[in-house]
Amino acid sequence: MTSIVDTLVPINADEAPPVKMWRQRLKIFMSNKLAIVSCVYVVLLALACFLVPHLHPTNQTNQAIAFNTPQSQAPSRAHWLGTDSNGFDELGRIFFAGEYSLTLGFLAGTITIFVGTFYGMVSGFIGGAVDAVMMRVIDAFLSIPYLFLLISLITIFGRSTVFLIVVIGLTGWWGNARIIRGDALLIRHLDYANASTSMGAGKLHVIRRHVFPNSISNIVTVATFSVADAILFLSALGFLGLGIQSPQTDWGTMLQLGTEQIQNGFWWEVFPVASVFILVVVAINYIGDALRDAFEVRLLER
Amino acid sequence: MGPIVTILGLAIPGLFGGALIIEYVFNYAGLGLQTYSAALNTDVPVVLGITILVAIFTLIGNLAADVALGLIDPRIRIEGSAR
Repeated sequence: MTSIVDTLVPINADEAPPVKMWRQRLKIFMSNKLAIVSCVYVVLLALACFLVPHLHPTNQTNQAIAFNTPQSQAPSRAHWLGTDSNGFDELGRIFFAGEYSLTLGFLAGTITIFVGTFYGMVSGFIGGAVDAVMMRVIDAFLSIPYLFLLISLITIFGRSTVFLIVVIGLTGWWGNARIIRGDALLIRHLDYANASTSMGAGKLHVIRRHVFPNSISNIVTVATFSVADAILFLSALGFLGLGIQSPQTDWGTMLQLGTEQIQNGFWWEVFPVASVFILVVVAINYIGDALRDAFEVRLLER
Repeated sequence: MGPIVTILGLAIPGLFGGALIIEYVFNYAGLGLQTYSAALNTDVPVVLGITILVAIFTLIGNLAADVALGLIDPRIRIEGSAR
């Protein structure tokens, strides 16, 4: 006969909690099959975009050589996905363009999340009049349609690659700041943050130890979504012919060139690049979804 | 119903951005296409003017959404108004 004491599980004192937490998060992330497929896709595509143009170089910049290759040619052994209306190899161009699309999207998304997190944290944590003013500023920015704002900035300041990153990065953070601010505002008044303050903790300590770690789930989720958004908006600009300038190209610019040929039935100039591009945005969104679950504190077991 | 109206109000900027692309694709002579051709010619005053105009439209739309929210759900009262 066993006593109830024997059935209790002893507390393992030397088990380090942080490691366990991260292992649990990895497990939750791994249980989402869609997210794993998305991860594999994004990693493979990124590798291909950065390696293929160097491992198997196709002419993507020289107009003179392109002029002498057959234009808008159907897929063949020499050009696996055909050539576009300038004579550039379509498959190689998808990777060549992806290098810029992914880099710019990632960098712009990163700027977005850093600025947004900082602004939201400051606004939500200080609160009061400062918070009200900072949020009215965001409301003012949010009332300008984003695409119009991008176009006006690009019209005024030109469109170099660096400037595109900076413009998309420094204009995309308003929604992020709002979400993070809501989190900071909530957590600042929770019991553990209050307890910490009552024991003499400074504001920086409360932000670092309580507010930031507890809003990390939202920050990570918002970060992945803003990378996807940055890629989308960069492509929208490219599609309007206001994106990266020519020898370089991006997926939006390729799509624009392709749609001019779609009525001739040259499907290889539209569908491959469109599907690669749509799938990468969808995949990043799925990854963000799974990351939100993984970082959700309430889903963790104790 | 309340959240739907709020989101509808917030979706208005996206509506104008979408209209820009639709007008570009179908060559429909609207504000979006005007912005686009002005941007190609670096005609800054036209681009800025249309952007301000569209921003005002957005604000009116947001205001309408807020007012509609009050009509739909009488429990929502703006601070200072009579109960």
